[in-house]
Amino acid sequence: MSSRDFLGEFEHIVVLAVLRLGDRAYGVTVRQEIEFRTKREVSIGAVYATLDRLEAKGYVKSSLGDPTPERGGRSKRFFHVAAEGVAAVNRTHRVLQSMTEGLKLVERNS
Amino acid sequence: MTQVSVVQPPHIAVWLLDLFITEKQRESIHGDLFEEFSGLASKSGVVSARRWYWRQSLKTIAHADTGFRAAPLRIAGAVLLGLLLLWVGFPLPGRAILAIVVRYRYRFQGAGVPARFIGVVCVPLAIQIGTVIVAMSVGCVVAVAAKGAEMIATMMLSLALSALAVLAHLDLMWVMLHLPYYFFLLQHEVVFLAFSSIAIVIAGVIIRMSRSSAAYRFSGA
Repeated sequence: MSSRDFLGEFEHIVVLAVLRLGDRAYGVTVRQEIEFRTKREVSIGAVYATLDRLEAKGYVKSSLGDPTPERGGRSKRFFHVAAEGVAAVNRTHRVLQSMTEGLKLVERNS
Repeated sequence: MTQVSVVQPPHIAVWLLDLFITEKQRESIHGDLFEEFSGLASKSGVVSARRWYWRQSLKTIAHADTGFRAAPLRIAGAVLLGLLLLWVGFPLPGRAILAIVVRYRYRFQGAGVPARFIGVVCVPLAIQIGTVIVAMSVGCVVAVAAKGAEMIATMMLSLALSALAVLAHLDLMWVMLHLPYYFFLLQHEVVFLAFSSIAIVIAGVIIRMSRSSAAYRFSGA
């Protein structure tokens, strides 16, 4: 199994954010969703670098919206997760579950 | 309409960001940052929004290696081509200027220009200017070859030139450490190297800006 079959930590977070946002997923909302959920500041550059990498792997697809005045006349680039992306998320979850199975993480932290 | 809605993000940050992001990311990153900046300016004030914009821009530039990862072979090829051109091109101004001096030395003497002034001031200065022009020309070629990653390619070439120059002048550093009297030799080399390295990066900026303005004209047409 190649390393491409699993998502990296930030890739995983970005794909989950795009899945949560559905039709509203573009740079601003993805960045804000990640900041809101992870409580850490994320740069728009990091989000786009990851989304471009995921798009190159075929895990997400993007399309341009119409230009809007609140964006200075620029278009939004909307993202949605492709079937291969959903499969990659599932594989990553299964591997993480398998790796954590039997570990008493909750008890140790409490 | 409130005053906040016409507030623009810091121009220098926008310009810097534009130099480093890829063509594909330009429209969406500028639009996203502008949208969030406008919201922040009306909520938290312009100063805070500008600080946020700068922070986001610098962090985004730090991810500019994306451009390298997108086309590593093209960029590496452009940098190698640049090093080859510098290797071939750097001796040319010296040869040309010395040939001119040898050919027209009698005219210089006839014009009353002291030979020592020509040898100590004019020739080294002319060679340095010529070498910086060569470095800038090579920077332009590299930037054109590394389409879309002009800044990464020219900065890599500049760093490679500096590293090679340091290796090549280790002997000079040894001399300088043992004979501080010859410190001026190292100073001369450092200044020459700094100007050449800066010229290469400036060439990258020029090519990138001309490409950006051409893209804007094209999209606006």
